[in-house]
Amino acid sequence: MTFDSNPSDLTQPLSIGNVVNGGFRLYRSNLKPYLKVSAIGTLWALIPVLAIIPVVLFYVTTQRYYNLLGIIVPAWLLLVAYCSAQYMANSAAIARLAFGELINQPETVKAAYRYTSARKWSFLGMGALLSLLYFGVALGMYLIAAILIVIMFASIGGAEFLRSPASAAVINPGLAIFAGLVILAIILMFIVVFTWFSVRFCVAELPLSVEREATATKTIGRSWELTQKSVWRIFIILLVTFLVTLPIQFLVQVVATMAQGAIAAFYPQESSIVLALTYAFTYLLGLATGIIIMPLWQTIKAVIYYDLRSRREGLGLQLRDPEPLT
Amino acid sequence: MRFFNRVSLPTPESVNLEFALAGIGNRALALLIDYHALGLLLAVFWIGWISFSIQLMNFLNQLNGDYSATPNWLLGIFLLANFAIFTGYFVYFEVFWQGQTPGKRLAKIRVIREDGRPIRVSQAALRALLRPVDDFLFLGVFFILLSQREKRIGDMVAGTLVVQESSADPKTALTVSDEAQQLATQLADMTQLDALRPDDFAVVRAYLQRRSTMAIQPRRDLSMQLARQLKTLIQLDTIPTGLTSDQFLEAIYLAYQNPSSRY
Repeated sequence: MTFDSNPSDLTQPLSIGNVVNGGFRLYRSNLKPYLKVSAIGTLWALIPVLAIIPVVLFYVTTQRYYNLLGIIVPAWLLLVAYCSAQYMANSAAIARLAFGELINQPETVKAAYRYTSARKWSFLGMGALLSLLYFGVALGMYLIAAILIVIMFASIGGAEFLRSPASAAVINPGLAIFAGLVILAIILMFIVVFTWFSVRFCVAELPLSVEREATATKTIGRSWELTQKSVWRIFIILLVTFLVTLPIQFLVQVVATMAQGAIAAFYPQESSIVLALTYAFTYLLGLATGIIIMPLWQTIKAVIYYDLRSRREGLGLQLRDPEPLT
Repeated sequence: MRFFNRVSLPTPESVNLEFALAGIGNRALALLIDYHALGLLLAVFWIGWISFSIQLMNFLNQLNGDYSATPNWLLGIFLLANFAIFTGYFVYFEVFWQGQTPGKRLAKIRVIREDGRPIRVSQAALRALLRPVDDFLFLGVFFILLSQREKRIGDMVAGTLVVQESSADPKTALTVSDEAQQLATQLADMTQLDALRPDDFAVVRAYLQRRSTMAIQPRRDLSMQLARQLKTLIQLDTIPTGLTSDQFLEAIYLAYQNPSSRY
């Protein structure tokens, strides 16, 4: 005899912990395909870095033909754009695969990649738009910070304070504390505002990966609209996920330190080889960590998106035959 | 996808209890909350102890005697007390709150013994004593992620599991309009309510419970879609005029839920 109070797991919205669990379980049960897609995507991102090496070597050895840069730089920028689009298509494919599994319509890796790859320029557009938005936010914040600092500066005595800051602080120690508090408040404001915006945009790539009518701009709007009433909850979800990945990063750090020790042991002298090897190794290790961690964030985002749609739009509340994946 | 990692525990009464394991997410969340609570507790203790120590030393310095050993004693007691607070927090709560700490209660998880019974002091103590190994050496995460039953070292040694609280259906009172109540009494005669399966009813109930937090347009679409599908299922020709799709769903909910009106 078996008691099972909740036969269908997915009729209720998910708790914070279960969203994180869902991401981990999806990743764990699809470890190989996700890692493969992640590795391919990361290799795409590596191409522009590799491409720059021969260029640098060329100019280091020849020390001339600088006017060729007029062609090389734009070509390289194009390469960066193309490779970024490829990277985003690959990472979005993982999110699409995860979401498909959540709504019980799993896909093959090939089919998912075909879908997201066809939209790679939209992903790039979305990325560019998000960068612009963040830039705008940063600009606004700097303006506010500047105004606040000017006001603070004026209120603690303006130029007089500059001439003898020590004496002013001695006359009124409250001023120093006040100045410190204002700076602290500004830093806090930066953190809070950026976190808030990051949460609002955090599922931006999902609609573009699964909703047929989504475009680069619409998908950002969808993320904005879906996350509207769940900022705090999503923030905790992301924070908990980050905490769980910390030990993995810690492990990587240990390996990196050990490897640096080994390199230093083989090449006792401080030489450029040691430096180059250390840099190369650290970079490769970073890439490897990225390959491992990226699918986790994609599956977590897929579960967040799934849960948001279930909360805000009643996704999954359907009678009998499920709708096809749009 | 199997969303939860479920385990089935046999009991002496040859009844299997099924539990969903807590999972890394809930456990990390609980730990996050507990360490914040513990940090607060320790901070209060530190402030209290330091001010107590200062006042004590001031007082002793006024007496004439050799009290040079006192600071060491104060430090020793301080270190022991820190250990006692850290361990005691988890042991106390896990024993007296039936396997829950404040963090676990908020994350809706619970520690139980492998046979499903509540944990006792010995299990709670073993878990708490091995906690530094699991938490500060980051070993627990790997053990939880990689072992079949999500046991950290402390769980293995103590023979415990961390499971989710069986979440009872939220019994939110559904507000139902008068029009729906009227229609509900008629629906039984007009339609084939028996054609509805319990699953269908569950969907309608879930919609009615959750509609207030949904966005306006998707909610409207979903309501219309459900009403249209249900209309076909129960072989009703047209939804009575003047009723919204929400009211129609409420009526079906009432009529189906209350069998007396059906027979």
